Order: sequence, then C-alpha cells, then structure tokens
Amino acid sequence: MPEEIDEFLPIKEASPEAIEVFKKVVRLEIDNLHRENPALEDEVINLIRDTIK
Amino acid sequence: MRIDSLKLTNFRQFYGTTPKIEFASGAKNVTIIHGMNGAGKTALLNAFTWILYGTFSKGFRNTDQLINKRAIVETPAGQKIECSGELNFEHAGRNYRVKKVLDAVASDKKGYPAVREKETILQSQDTDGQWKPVQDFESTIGKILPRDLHSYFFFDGERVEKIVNPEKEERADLARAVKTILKLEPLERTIKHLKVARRHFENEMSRDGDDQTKKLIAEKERLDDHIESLEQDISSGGENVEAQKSLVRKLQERIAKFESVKHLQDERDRLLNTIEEKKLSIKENSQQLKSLISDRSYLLHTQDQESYFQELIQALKERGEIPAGIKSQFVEKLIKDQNCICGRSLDPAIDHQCKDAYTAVSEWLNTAGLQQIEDRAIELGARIDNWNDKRSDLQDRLKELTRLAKAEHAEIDRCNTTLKQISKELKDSPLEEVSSLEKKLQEEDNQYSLLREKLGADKRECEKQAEQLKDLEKQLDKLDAQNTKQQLTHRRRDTADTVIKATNAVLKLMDRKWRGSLESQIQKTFKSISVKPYVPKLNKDYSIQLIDTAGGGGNVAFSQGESLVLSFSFISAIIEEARKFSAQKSEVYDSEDTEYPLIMDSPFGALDDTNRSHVASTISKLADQVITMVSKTQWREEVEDAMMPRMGKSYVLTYFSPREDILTSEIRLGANTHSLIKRSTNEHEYTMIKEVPNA
Repeated sequence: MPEEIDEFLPIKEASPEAIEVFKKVVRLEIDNLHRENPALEDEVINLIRDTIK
Repeated sequence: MRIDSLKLTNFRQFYGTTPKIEFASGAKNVTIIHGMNGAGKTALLNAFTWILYGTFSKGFRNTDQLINKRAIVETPAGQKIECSGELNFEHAGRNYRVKKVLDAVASDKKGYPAVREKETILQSQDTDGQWKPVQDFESTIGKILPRDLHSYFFFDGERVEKIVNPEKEERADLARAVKTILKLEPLERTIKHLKVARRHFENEMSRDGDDQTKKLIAEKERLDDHIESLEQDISSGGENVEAQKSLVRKLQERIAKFESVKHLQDERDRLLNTIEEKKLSIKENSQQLKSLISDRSYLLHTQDQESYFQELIQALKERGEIPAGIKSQFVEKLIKDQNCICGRSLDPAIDHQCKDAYTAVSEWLNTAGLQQIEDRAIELGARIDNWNDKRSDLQDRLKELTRLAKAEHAEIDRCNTTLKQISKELKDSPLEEVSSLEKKLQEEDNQYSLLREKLGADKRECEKQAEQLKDLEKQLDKLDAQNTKQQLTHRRRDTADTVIKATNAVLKLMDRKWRGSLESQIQKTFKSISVKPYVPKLNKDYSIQLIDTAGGGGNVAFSQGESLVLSFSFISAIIEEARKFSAQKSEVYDSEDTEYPLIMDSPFGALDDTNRSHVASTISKLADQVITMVSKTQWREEVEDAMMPRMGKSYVLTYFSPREDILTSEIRLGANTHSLIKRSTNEHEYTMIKEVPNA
C-alpha cells in the first residue's frame, strides 16, 4: 500500500467554509476535466460567492 | 472499462462487415488475434483508437484512407460507400455502444474519393434495456478512459520508446497522463482557477477599498504575475533540461556503438557517475555543515565568557567565600524558629547571651548567601566542561567536513581533467563520424550546462519573490474592511487564498505518496520479469531511468527488449495504482470503476525467450483484460504456454492476396490448422477475421 499519510490533512484543518469551497471546486474540475468549458472560471467565482454569503 | 465487442465495416483491410469480434474477460481475460504482417493487426489496434478518440498510432500510415479499397472499386459510381466501426463496452455496470461512420461517394474517376465523417454516436443502455444517446461524447469517454492515457492502454509494441525514452513533447504527455490517472490534475486545475477567483475578489477589494488597499493590491498583482511567469520559466526550463540531458545521453550512446572508442565512452560514463556521486556527497556534507553551524556555532563564541566566569569563581575560592559550607535557608529557619542547633534560644529580647547568639547566627547569612552562587558555579562548571568537549568535537567535525569537501572537489577536478582528455581524444579520432559526434556532444553539453544554470537562477529568484509576496499578504490580511460588503469580499478572497495554499499542500503530499508507490510497483514488476540487476527509477517528469545496481549505480542505456519490459512494468504499475487509489476512501473523490483493458499490437517482437515468457505470463495477470495481436513468429511455444491458462478467445486474420505466386501460410492452433495467407479469388486484397473455436 502507498505510505500511510493523510494527503487531505492540510484541507481538513481549514475552516468549514474553505473545506466546502475545496470540495465543490474539485468536483467541478473533475466534471470538466475532459471537455472545454470557457465559463469555468466564472463558475468557480460564483461558487465561492454562493458558499460565502 | 471492459471491451465487449468490435464490428468493422469496410475499414482498411476488412472488406464488408466483420462478424462481431467478442473479447474475453473475467478469469479467462486474454484474447489473441493471430495474423501475418500486413494482415490488419495494426489496423485493428487503430480501429479502437479511431472509434473512441479519432486518433491513430504513429506507425499507422495513410490515415486519410480508411475505406477498404475493394469496397471503393466495387461500389457503382454515384452510390455511397460506408466505412464504420462499432464498439460495445461496459463501464461501472453500464453498457455503452459507440459507432463511428465515414462515408464517401464512389465515382468513375480513379483515385481515392473524398471522405467525410458522417457521425459518431455514443449510446448507453438503461436498466430497461433501451439504448439512449449520450450527449457529451468526449467528456464521457474521457472520464471512462482519459484521452491522455489511451496510447498507454492501446499500444503498439514496436513503438514503446515514448514511455521509457520520451521526446520533449511526449514527456509532457506522459506527465499529464499519470497526473490524470492519479487524480492530481483536477487539483492543479483547482489551484489555477482559484487563483483567478482570488484575483477577481482582490480587484473588488481594490475598487471599493482605500488608497492603502489599492496600493497593496496593485503591488501584489505585480508580484503574482512575476512569480507566475517565473514558475512557467521553471517548468519549461525543467523540461528543457531533461530533454537536453536525454539528447546528450543519446549522443554518448551513439559514440559507444563504435567498438574502437567504446572504452573511452565507458570510462567517461564511469567518471560522470563518480562526479554525480561526489556532487551528492558534497551536497550532503554541506547540509551537515549547515546544521552543525546552526546548532552549535555558539560554542565558538563563548570561550571569553567561560574564561571570565572561571576567573570569578577562582577569585571567590581564593577569598574563601566558597565553598560556603552552610545554606541560607537553614540559617533563616534557625532565626525564624529562634532556636539554635546547640539548643540556645535565638530571641534577642531574652538576654544579652541570646542577643549575642542571634547576632552570630545572623552573620552566617552573609556567607550562606554565597551558597546560591556556589550551586550555580557547580552547575555552570559542569556545563562548561561539557561545552569544552562539544567544542572540541565540533572543531573536529568541521575540520573533517572541510577536508572531505576539499577531497571531493579535488576528485571532481581530476575527473573533469580526464573527461577533457577523453573528449580531445574522441575529437581527434581518425573515425570522422566519432569526431563529429563528439563535437556535437560538446556543443549540446555546453547548452545543457547553460540551461541548468538558468533554471537554478530562476528558482532562486522565484523563492525571493515568494518571500516578498508573503510579507505583502500579511499586510493585506491586516487591512480593515470598512463595511459589510467589503468584509464579505475580504472573506471570499481569504477563503480562496486558504484553499489555494491547502490544495498546494495536498497536491505535494499526493504527488509524494503516489509517486513513491508507483515507483516501487514498477520496480516490483520489472524485477519479476527481467533477469538483469537493474532497478527502474521514476524521474520527476515520470519518465524512467534504469540504474545498474551491480555496476556502481550508473544509468543503463536500455535495449528495445528492456524498453518493452519497462513499458509493461510502467503500464501495469499505473493500473495497480489506479486500483489502489480507487480503493482508498476519499472525501473528495468518488470511487470509480478502475477496470482497464490492455490492447497490444506485436508486444513480443523485441523480446528474447526468457523475457517473452515472463512478459506473457505477467501481463495477463496484471491487466483486467488483455487483447493481443501476434504474428506467427511471435506466437511461440513459451508465449502460448504462459498465456493459455488465461486465454478466453482467439481469432485468426486470413489475408487474401491477388498475387498468383503467393505462398500460402497456415498456423496450427490446438487440433486445427488455420489459413493466414490465401489466394484471393478476385483482383483485390482483403482480410477476413474468424474465431478459433474452443480457444
């Protein structure tokens, strides 16, 4: 097995808002990994706006 | 992804529509397709990649002429000729069907007709069995088997160089492919897009903020841009350095091929390895030196204070003030209790004898006070004695490290002098080609040094700018937002910033974890296949080096056979790592289907008997599904023996030649004989595919 380190620890130690933003943005990136999406940057900005109100 | 079947119509050598070619999976996961050279083995490999990605392998020629020539000739003028491929596969419990269609209109004129791509349709099957179109073709296929990776899973055994010895552009593809499968790429993209978002919120802060905010943000923007540009330079500089290193290595390998000067190149290799070792040793020494100076250099500056302290203590001793002999706490207790140890009262109010006794005992306090000094003197004295030992040890270590560094530098100088002599000897070689190769090598080597220097300078500059940025960010964090709207923008910017930093840290940890795991998996597989005492090492850009453990740890120039074994090791390691990654529960990544097929054209050609047998038995176990195209000469007894236990299906490609003088050829599989080459009954060449029963 790969060495036993929790690679997600740096984000787990962040604030709940930051964790939520991280999860949402990574999910968005995975969904858009194999297609062109010129609006992706705006989607990330709006995602932060929607999460931090 | 599990490939279920393939059907081709008028695709290259395949005239008409082939029967549905079904592929084995499960416990018997190997499908073997036998065919002579030119019968259509490479066309089959390319049919997969054409249908899924619209791409072809490097060795596949005339990619604009996919339609079968017999079909073109036999179609009446004005009528459409169709060429298509249909692939059925399963992924994550869902069935998919993808069909790609080209068409052309036949004409009376000679030559190849104009072809247009008619359609590519992807459908998936619902639970009720109905086939429904999937709209986002590229994205869906990309998620199932990423485009970047496809050349590693559908690969041409005769062209494996790109994995183990990639050119500059291929290196970038390779790194991207590995990052995709190990899920590092979405994190890199997360950072990239969050940086855009952070700048967006900083612009809002600047627009709504005071002069100080505006000034800081403008400065930060400038630094961000500068750092980004430096990082790009470092990234491309790193690639350039690796590519240049590879170029230099290739030139050295070419020189080594001349028997009369091989000993000189061997000696050069040895010297270059020695220099690398010495440089590594110098680096380690320098780190030890830094850590010694940082931890113990105070010892070199405390000698004066220690002497002064010892003089003070000596003076106290000479004056008889220490040792004190009595503790102040003890005297204070006697006075407080008003009782001396001899039983006399110490209350001065009782009589003059008691008063005298009280005065005498009180005077002891003056001497007893020095007890604290004495205690400290003992403690410090012991420490100073220890310091003396440590100082002496430090001085010895510093001398030793300096001596070692000098010796290493001297050795490097000696090596460089000999290297110059070797180079001169090669340049003066009577063999013109050697001389010219050596001159070219020196030019490229100089370029390599320049590139490395520039890379080092860029890295140092980037670190410096990053420090400045850190200071600026601290100032920015302290800025007070004036109103609720500004506070909200600050929070959004700060959160983007926090996530960027955390994602960077996650990315580094993931890279470390999976790179190490990938390397040990490659080493494990390579060891199980190869008999050589070599160990594969994964470079930063995910290309592979082969280290000779028995020959002093130098790089090995690998043969085509070793390249092939390394490629298999690499691909199987990638599959294994993807499986492990998926098995690991993550809060971010969903579990995915990690069944990977391995489709190989002529994988055994460059291997010797031992490696062929090892590779054959290893790959069928490592990949979930194996489809292999082999020629008659590659399908040898040892390969058959190794693959037979896992063979689920087998096909034969029969090539029909219009030549009258053609020599027919057959292959015996089990109890039956099958034609590999037959005389065509018309003037066209074409191929038919037929399943071998009871494979």
